[in-house]
Amino acid sequence: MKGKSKMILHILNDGPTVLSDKIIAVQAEKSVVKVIDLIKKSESYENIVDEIFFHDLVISW
Amino acid sequence: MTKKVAVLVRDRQHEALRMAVGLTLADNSVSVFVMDTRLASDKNIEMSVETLGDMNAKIYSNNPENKFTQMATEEIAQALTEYDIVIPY
Amino acid sequence: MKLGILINTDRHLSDIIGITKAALSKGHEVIIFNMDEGTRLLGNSSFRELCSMYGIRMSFCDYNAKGLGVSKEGIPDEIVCGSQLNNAEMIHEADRVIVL
Repeated sequence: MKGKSKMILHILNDGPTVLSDKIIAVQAEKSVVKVIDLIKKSESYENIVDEIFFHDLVISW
Repeated sequence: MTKKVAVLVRDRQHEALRMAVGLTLADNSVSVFVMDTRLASDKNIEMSVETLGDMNAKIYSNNPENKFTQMATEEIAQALTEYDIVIPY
Repeated sequence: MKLGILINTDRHLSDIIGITKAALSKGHEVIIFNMDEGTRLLGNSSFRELCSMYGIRMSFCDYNAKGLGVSKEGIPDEIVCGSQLNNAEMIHEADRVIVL
């Protein structure tokens, strides 16, 4: 039986980098990945908190 | 329960490694991934690397100039998904 | 749930305050540890005031604060002058950890 995909949230503190782009791209092949770019201010802090706890793993760059 | 923690060492090598050593003080299983850059060679770095070894922390790198277990960036990216906490530093 | 915030720069104060207040308002606990350049925020009153909020615990790396010449004057007692042990405990205890 196929296992549940891991949900991974990437938070970009200072925009994307070469390394963060590469890690995110590779992980997106097997996991469900969401990216929040703090510089863009596109999400409310309330939503960000919900996303942090909704995902299995959070990586801040 | 032991927590699996990964530390990604990027530009601030000294503090990243010092922090990694500190993380072993609680019930954390620590792995260190030295990303891209060559690790500086000085007393503090050497001491941190030695202490991490003493604490059974594993050290990996995607840069062959670093004499640690080698992993490609793609392998590291997938490996990170198995950790509870990932700290790029 | 418990949110750990490792603060190792002094560049994201508004995000720290916004995320912390949002997490607390949703009933989560927040644990903050400052180290490296992040200890510079100890000189900011808006940052220090977070320690009076219900559900938060704060500490910082004394080694870094000393090394960077960060004054401890005016830092409330609720913000623990600590070490990397505080960080290790936060990482172990928190359900999720972000770095800012």
